[in-house]
Amino acid sequence: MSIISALSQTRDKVKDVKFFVPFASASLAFVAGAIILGSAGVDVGNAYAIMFRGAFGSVFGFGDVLLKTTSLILVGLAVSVAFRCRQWNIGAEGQLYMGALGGAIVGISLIGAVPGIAILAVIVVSFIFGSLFALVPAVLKVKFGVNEVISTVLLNFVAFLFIAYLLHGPIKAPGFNPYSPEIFDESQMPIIFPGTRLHAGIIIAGLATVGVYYLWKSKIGFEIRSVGANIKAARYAGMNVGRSVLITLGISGGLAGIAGGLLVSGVQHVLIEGISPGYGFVAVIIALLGRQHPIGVAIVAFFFSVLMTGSETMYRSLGIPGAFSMTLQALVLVFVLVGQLFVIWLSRRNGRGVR
Amino acid sequence: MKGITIRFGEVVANNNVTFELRKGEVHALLGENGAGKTTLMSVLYGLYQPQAGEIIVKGQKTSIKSPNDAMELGVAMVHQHFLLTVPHSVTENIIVGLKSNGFFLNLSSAERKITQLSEKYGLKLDPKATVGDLAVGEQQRVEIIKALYRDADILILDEPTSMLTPQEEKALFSTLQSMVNQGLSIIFITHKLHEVMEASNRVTVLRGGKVVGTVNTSETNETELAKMMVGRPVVESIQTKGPAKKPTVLQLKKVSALNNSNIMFLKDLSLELREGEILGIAGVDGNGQAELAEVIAGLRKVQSGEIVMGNRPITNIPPRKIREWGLAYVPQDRLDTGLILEYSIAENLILDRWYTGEYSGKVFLRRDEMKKFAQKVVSDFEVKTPGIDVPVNSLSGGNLQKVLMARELARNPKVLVVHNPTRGLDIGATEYIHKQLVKQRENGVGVLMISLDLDEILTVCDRIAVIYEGKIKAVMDRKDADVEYIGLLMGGKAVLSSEGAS
Amino acid sequence: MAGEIEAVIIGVIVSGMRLMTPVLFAALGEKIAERSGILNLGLEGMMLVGAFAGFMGTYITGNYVVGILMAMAGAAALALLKGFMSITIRTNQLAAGLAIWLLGTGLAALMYRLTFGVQAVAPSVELMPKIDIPGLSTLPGIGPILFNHDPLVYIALLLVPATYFFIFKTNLGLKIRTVGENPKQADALGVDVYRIRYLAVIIGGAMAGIGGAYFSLVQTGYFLENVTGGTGWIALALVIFGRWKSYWICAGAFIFGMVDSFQLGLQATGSSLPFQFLLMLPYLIPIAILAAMYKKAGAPAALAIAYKRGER
Repeated sequence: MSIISALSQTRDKVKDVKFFVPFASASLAFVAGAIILGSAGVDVGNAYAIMFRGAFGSVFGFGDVLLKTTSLILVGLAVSVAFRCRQWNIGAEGQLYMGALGGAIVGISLIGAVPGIAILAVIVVSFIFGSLFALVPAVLKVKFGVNEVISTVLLNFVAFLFIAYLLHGPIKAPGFNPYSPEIFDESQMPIIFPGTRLHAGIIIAGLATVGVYYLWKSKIGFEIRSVGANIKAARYAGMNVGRSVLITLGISGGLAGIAGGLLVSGVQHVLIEGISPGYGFVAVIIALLGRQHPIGVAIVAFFFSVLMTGSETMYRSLGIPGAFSMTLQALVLVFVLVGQLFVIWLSRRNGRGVR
Repeated sequence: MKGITIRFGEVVANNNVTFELRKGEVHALLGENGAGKTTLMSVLYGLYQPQAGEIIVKGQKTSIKSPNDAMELGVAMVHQHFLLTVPHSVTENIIVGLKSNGFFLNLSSAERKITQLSEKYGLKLDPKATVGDLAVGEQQRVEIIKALYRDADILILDEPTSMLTPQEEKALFSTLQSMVNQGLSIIFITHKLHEVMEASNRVTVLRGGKVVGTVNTSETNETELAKMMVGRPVVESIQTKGPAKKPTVLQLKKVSALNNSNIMFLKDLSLELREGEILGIAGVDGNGQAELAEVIAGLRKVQSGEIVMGNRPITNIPPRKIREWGLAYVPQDRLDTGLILEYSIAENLILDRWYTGEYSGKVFLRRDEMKKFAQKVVSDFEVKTPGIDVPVNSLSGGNLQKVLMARELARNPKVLVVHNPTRGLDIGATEYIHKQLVKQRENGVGVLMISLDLDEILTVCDRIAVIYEGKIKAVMDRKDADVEYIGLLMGGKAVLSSEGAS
Repeated sequence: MAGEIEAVIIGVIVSGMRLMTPVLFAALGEKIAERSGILNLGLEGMMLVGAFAGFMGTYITGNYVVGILMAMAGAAALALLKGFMSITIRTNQLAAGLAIWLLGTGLAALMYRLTFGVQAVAPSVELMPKIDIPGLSTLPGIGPILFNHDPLVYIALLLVPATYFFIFKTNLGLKIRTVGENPKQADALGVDVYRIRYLAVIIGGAMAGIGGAYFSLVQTGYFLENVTGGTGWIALALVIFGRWKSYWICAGAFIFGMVDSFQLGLQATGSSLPFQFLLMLPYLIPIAILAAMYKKAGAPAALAIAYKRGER
């Protein structure tokens, strides 16, 4: 009898829809992933065990999880800020790269500066680079009505190519490889946990989360949110829509830029093509799942970092490609979106009005 | 249609309605707002299913579950707001979805048939024309031919003259006549008395969802019809003293404005609102009420004429400035421009003053002040809400309205414009809103109440004006108000110098 | 000298025709979907699935037709999912499209690696052979430009008037257009709005699949991750540029193909401009064109708005 009552209590808690849908979606995604792997002859239990161990089984592994969380929180916040104003910024990856460029330029130019100042410079410059790059599609949208989905996506490729050009020419370090020269020590983020690759950037990510949280409490944030929620009501309230779009995309690009700068300064210490394994694209999923709340974004970012880190281990041990984690992430999003139907069905049963 | 009863939630839209259409007649369905006319016809057209009653078409008892069923029975409906695809041609609009169509689009044979129909019924139309280029009257002909093309012989027209010029109206009536001569039967929904007299053979009057009576047009007149349309048990006013003659706070002088379809909808409208009174604008929906509210609030361009508030001209001034100068506006659509659903009560309350410094500092919003404001509103206005921070989409209609009013009133306005303030609200909320309006009146605010609910106007207002086709037909004091006279005005009857039959 | 220049120009145009083919397939398909009111941001993902499925099908059976059919089926399945989310569940069409994009991208890469693993020599298929139209292909100038291509080029070009005809001259096309402009009207006249939208989005998906397969079966002979390189997004831009009309979309695709071919040609001739900047052109030009258009004229009125029967 008690088991049943305990089960029904859990069922009631789980029925709280806010938690149920994401939880169920994640589970379903893992099931779907298992089916895909299974059909290719992979021992699924073993694979998932390796994935779990990769993320949680060692200090280094968990350090890597937190390392990825740093990047994913920043890009996730970047995209979610844009989404809150209903601006579909799919260009976070390109903005990240431009930020990385900015960080690298600081890193390889500044010698003899006080370490704290150098790092600060890296962050500021990478923010600026990313922000300016995002302002291009922003201005195109405000002045010319160019659909920002298309412009931000295509500009990603422009950014990649630009960086490639620089790395094969102007910024190339001597030698055969298309890297930039290594950045000087003062611009390198310190490792905060020995035995891992985890650097102080995670503090920056945390600060960014807090920052975005307070952004939404500010006057500007109120305008941005209103424009995103109901543009008619915002106009009626006298808000300046164009200005909100520019500010939003500027912040969005800047945050993505910082992510790029930290990748250079904290992990690779050089600028290199492929420095990001598609963080900017995953960020789109994170932003959609995080429901535009910075804490939600951080939680999803963490979960996805676990996926990506574990997935890397699966690749090393079993040869399962990194695309597996992207597929899982996309599946979670699909299930969550489909789950909306379930939510509406539930609220109809409870007699509340449907919106 | 016998004994048709249909409910939407608690509202009984049609209560045991019996309606009969004879072959070859034009039968008018008359009633004021909410009488149930459109609902009844929607049942006939298969858009709604009644909870009780039966439908007998051409001698056969049937059930009509969808517009397809209706069309197969030969019933077609021409809606008040046309369902047309603007960039397509007339022919394309008419033949889309026909079951008899083959794979290939055969425009020329369709065009021939359309031309035939248009000549047969005297509906001049060029099948090749693009619908977007047509005048409203011509677009309506497209809708009618759409129905005729599908071999409809029972035609329902919903407020067919609402967008027409007088000439187009005449043309329409003669068309109806020739259609009837060819054996069609027509029902048209209207609130305009002269249309009933001019164009129909019989008329059925609905009021409050019930049939008041069915009469032959030749045996009645407008006054009687008006009586049937609006006659009601006496409605007591809640005002105890009459208004004193006070200065004007809002004035419209010969204001003209277009509606969303670029038709001149307000035509040289003049109106005066005084301090400390509630002026009601009565009228059937679609006579310019929304446009009137919007030009005052600055949301719609005034083409000619002037609006003055106090001694400030507010014609075509940005809405924010008009608000700052003392206007409060509660639109009929709370959720479109008024409130943001995802926001809490507190955030919605500051939508009009987030920049003034009362509730915000240099950078941040002053959450504590906002919370206090919200709490005060909730207690003053008795807003029932699960919590102070929940998004307002969880509030009922009545409570949403209270929040909206509270925000507007917190500005201590000089003029308050409310449009359908109690639509969709229960009795408790309605009474509360009325009390608030009276309170504002006591405080010297000039209240302009535009409402489709005649009962409400009779209950609350000091003076009553009737709007018809974009003009104010007459203004009277409440104590002089005669419901039947108002009904006549709402139906379009010209102002009489003395009462009595035509 | 003149002969050389002529040869170069012809060469550029010929190669441009081939470069424009995948984007033309995708854009024409998307045009049909958008005409019914469905916006499909997942086009890139569908093309990648098509590229993989086409490769797989051809690799296993050695038959191009099987490969193409599998490409169509794979992409159409993804389109069905997109349709389900947008039509039946009515989620935000932009979010659904983005989900499909990433899902398609991930799935294509994942399935490829799971199937083939990492091999020293990447698996490949023979490139689809060109078809010489006898007689015509030897015409000077026009010959190689128009009559000496692989069959998919011809099919793509034929699809231009075919889709035009379908949308504007058939009753089904009229239904699609009406559903996209005024779904209420269509519904009131007995058209099944949901079914029409599903049909349109699946057709669009299938065509995108062929476009994706073009990369693996004609251009490279391999399946490479992200081989489409943004083509799906460019196709979306082309639909807007072409104002939802087949012939204009074809013109836009042609311009795109020429730009791409031109910059490749410049790279080959060793121009002083770093090749990366040339590679940027195919991405910058669509943006510039969209900006020059300034106002988007002619979008189907109900594009990206979910329809629910009985909604007022």
